[in-house]
Amino acid sequence: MNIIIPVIFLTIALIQFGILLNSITFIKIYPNERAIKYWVVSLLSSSIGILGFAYGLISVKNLEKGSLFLTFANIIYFLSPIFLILYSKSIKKINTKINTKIYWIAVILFAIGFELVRKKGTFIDRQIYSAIAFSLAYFLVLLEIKNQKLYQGSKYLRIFSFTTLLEFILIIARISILLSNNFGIVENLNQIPILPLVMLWFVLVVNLWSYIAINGYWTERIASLNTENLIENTKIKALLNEKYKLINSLMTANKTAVSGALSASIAHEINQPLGAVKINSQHLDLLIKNKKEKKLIKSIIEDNDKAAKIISTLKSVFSNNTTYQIIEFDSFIESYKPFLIQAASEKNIFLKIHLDSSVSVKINSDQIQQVISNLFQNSIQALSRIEKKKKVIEIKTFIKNNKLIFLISDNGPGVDPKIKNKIFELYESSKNENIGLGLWLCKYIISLHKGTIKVNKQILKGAEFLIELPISYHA
Amino acid sequence: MHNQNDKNITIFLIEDDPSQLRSIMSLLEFKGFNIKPFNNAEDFLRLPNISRPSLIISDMRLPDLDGVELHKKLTNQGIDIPIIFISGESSIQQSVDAMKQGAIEFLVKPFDINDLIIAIKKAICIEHKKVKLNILLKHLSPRENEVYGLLIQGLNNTQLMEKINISLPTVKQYKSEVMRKLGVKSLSELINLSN
Repeated sequence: MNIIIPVIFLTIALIQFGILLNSITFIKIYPNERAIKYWVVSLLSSSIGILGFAYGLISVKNLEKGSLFLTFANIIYFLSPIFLILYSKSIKKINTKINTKIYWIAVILFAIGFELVRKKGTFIDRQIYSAIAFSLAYFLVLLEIKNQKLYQGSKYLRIFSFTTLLEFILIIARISILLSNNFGIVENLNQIPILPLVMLWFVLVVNLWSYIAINGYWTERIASLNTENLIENTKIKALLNEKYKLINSLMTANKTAVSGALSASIAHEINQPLGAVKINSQHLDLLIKNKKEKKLIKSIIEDNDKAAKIISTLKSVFSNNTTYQIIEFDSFIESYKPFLIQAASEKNIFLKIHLDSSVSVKINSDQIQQVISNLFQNSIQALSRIEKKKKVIEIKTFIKNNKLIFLISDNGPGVDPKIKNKIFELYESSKNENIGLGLWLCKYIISLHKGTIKVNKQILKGAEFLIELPISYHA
Repeated sequence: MHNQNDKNITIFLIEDDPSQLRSIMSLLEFKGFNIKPFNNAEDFLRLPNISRPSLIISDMRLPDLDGVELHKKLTNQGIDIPIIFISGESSIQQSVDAMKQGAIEFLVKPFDINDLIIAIKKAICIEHKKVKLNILLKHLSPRENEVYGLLIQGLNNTQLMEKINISLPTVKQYKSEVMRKLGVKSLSELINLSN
């Protein structure tokens, strides 16, 4: 019997440590929950206290006299119901500060009282003393449970309320047993009266249940949090999916619209009213002699032309030619040459063309024509903004690193380095008309052709755009 | 601003877009031209007789025919009115096709009215030449007309002999008669007349 008592204490302490380990996870999940911290301290002090009993009972010379070690074990153990009070107080009130001073005073008073009883009284006196102190503490826990109505709601809290009540009853029963019997002097483990000891074990076991119940409560909360997370996650996923679908359907709608007959006529349909506006404006200009009105008409015509220009930079988007053909690139440019020469000569620009690639590339001719036209128009526009004797645009094709290079450069003002990286963005290129319309479209088209476009270091000190296209085969 | 010749010419304006039609019409009427508007090609083609001198300004995309088809139909009927195309979209291939068939100009909307006026003047010039030529051709006998037709195709004397099965002196006689009646002194002038 003598060794069984500390072993049972040790076992209970170890089980409590086990529960404690589990509760550390809760602190991680709810770092701001004060209640969990109180509970953990309660559990920790309980297990250390019980462990202390186990060791104290073996090491003590005379149980009747007790030892300072056992006093400390009792004090630490007493912390556990105190923190259980705090736990019960704070479990339903998140982030409310609790005045803990009075509880510390209670612990100190218990410690002083215990030491006094040890000095003056017997082993049984100490048992009675601490049992009364515990019954008071548990009474306060019960009071808190009643005040916070912890028995309502979670089933685990209900179990906790019940086990606490049971503990209280058992402690009261233990006190009455201790008081109603004369157990005499207890000097060693063999002399410890069995009934109150068994009662204590009962208390400890029920105490375990209550800790497990609290553990269950937090597990439940995490589980419901997880469920909420899961639902939230599913909702977000559904939303993302919807968004993706929406974008996708918009893209396909756009694609079918681009390839459909409808969009082919969009440019035409927009140009109809634009054409009428221009003719009427110019007609009005002929009728009006007043300078102010003429100025207004002029700006109407300019804006009208701007709108038409936007349509023309987007022409390939409206085109219903979606086929890719393998075309000898130099002759493709060659066929386009007369238009380039005429457009340049109208603005007194000298056009140099060196075609030296003689390879075939797989392209959508409408789209690539659009790109060349946009870049060429941008160069012309840039050159028409400046005063210069010799304005030059140079177009070159050649092969580099097994890629076809199309290069167009001018001796205009060039691209401002500050916006160099932004010129291919839709927003930027529409905001600043000096960087030229439709560069974003050029980039888009070239990327469709698995090529690259970049603005380069200048040969002619103006802007230089370089397009790289994959070669289909060499001529 | 305009001479009398410009004013007695009829401009057939074929355009399906009402605002476009109205704006061009009111501008050209203001400029003193005589305009006959149509909103489709069939209505125009159903005219019992197309008065000359005249010219056509037509949209490239009409509800019933496209511009090039209209031009082909007129040519097949032997009507050689100068034609100016206007279009809401500028496909290079389309404009090349139109010009190859002998269109005066291909204007992309929104176009400048000055460009339109220049094109109209050019067309008027050609039309007058054509009308004058047509009147002169009426004086030719059927045989002379045939010879004229072959001459402007660039056939030489020997080829003419083979083609209509006549002797060299007769060929030479027809030739000089055609040139006299049309008021030209050389073959190159004669070919020039028809262009």
